[in-house]
Amino acid sequence: MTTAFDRKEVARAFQHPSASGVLASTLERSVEAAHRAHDQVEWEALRSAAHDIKAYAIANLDTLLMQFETQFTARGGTVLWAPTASDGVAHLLDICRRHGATSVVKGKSMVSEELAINEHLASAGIEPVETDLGEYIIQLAGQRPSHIVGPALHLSRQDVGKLFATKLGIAYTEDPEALMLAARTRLRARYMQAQVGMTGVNFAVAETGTIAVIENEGNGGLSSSVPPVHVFLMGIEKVIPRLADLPIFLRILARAATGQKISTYTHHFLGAEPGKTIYCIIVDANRTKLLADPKTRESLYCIRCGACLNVCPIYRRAGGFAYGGAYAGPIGAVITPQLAGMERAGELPFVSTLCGACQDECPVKIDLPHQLVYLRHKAVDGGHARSSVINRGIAMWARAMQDLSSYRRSVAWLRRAAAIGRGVGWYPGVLGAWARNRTLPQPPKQSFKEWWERTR
Amino acid sequence: MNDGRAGVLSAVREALEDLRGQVHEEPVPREFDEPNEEPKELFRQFATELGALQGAARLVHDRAACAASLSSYLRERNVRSIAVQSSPLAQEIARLLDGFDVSQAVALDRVALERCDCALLEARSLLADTGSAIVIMDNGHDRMLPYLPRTCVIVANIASLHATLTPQSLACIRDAATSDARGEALIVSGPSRTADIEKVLVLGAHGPQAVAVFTIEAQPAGT
Repeated sequence: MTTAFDRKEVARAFQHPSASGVLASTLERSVEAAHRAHDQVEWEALRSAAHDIKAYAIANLDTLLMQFETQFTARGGTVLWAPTASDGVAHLLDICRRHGATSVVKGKSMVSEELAINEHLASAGIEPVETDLGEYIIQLAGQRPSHIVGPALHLSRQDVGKLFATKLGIAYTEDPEALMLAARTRLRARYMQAQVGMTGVNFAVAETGTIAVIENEGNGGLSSSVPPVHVFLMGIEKVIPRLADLPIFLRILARAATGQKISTYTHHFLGAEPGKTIYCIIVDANRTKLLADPKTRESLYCIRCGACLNVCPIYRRAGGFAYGGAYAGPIGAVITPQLAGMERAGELPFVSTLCGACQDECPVKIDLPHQLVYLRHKAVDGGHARSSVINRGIAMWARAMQDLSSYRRSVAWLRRAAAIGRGVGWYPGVLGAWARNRTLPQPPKQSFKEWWERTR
Repeated sequence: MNDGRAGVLSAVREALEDLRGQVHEEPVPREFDEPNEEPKELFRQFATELGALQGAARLVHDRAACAASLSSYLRERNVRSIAVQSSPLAQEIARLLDGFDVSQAVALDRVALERCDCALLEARSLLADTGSAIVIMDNGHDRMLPYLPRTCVIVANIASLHATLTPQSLACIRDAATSDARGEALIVSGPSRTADIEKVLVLGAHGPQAVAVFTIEAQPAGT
């Protein structure tokens, strides 16, 4: 999994203003719809209640996970535990082999993205079939999701039209309904053939051993009901204590994610009916690192609504690919460094203006800005904060600042270098990358001090 | 295959070491009030909300009227074949339908279900503030019904109409989730939809393009 902040992706976003324009206007509409939906309910009271339930669940995670396991097993399911990402993949591959699966139809699952399930299935000769329209589009495009809720939001209808014409062999159209129908027709056949269906989990209820999965398209319903085997893939943080807690989350999740009062389908899976085999793979994959640090524990309250992405000024401009991993935006900048390691993703906490919009928007009141600041300190202390080029530049600047004459010489040199660079339109190294999408101001011919000494 | 259990649980316990000995009060469940609305007023709200989701809601006097209204709706949509959920009200309404090819969902495999024009389901609860219907399905055939046919029709008694997600409206899910029931409790709110391409709403993404809820006012004699 690539996780480092990807400057090339940012540069691409800047070079294609129409793509980032599509993303920004789409996100703005999402935010407006969400705010209208917040006004229909006691939003702040619901946020506080959701925060309290998650705080309790995370503080009692071991007990609740065991309770969930007992109840899920009593309902005819099998729980499989995955301490690492590769354990999670191994469990899924083992299930597929045992049931003779040659393809897996997949509902939306962020853990699946995180574990790179598609790549592992394909390597094992099992075809992964994404069925959520956005996921299907990006699978055809050979891309990663750029948004937690809308994986293909970075693509215009023209992009999708060209993609479908090339990959599906249909006549070019940019009509979203015609494009959807083309996908629906092809995916229907895949549901019928698949031996295994896989979905993510929104909430696992410890009290009852039941699982809630929330979606709009019906692909989760088909992936879970049509194949004879259903695999739930969930992170350890998805457990909630009681069934009575669920209505709080049903009220906030769709409102925060898409501005709907409720999603079209709220599945509450009650256990394996005759003829059905169900598994639940519970994945740690470094979540216990987030859990062990009291300063980042709260990030495990996340319900993956994507609201923090929609309002983030950095995400809106740079897009999701810039974050390098499965999770983009402010929540990605907090959890990815812990899930993938500071040495690989230590720069992500710096990808924020710390404006606080993400915290204001979060339906479970996660204090993202303070966690970002905390992780910045951690990255600096661990030497994971900046590239070696920037570190060398800062060290040189520190030396130049040590006495007045070397400072003056350095500034004069920089002024001349900037004027030459501006004249020829080229700067070296990281400065060149920075200046590619920005116009440097014309440096003055003399410093203020030189001017003052001449004119006073 | 399950050696990871001890690993995950011990990692969780170790991670929570700083909280050891602290008492965490379980938050009191937030319960939402059931306003004392007249059923007809609740139905008006339900119909408005479902209409906003591009679904249809009809209030019918009794089972015979339900069958008549449903027949007319299905003919408008050129529906010929119907697969019926194995629940009492859906079965009863199906028996009253005339001129359609009606099958029991439990007798059909997934390919045959996919070929059906319409699914007929029973809602155990209706939620007025979201235009939602709660359907409990206890076998694999019924579980495919809400998604495979192009049209989805749901019948319900008006007594099952509630204002919002309250303990009363969710009692059917609680009963199923705390009993030996298997399968799925589904809250369905309008037709299947997507907005994955430039946030443009398209109905009938993977599931039905049309969802209609028929609510019956009169209770049968003896209930």
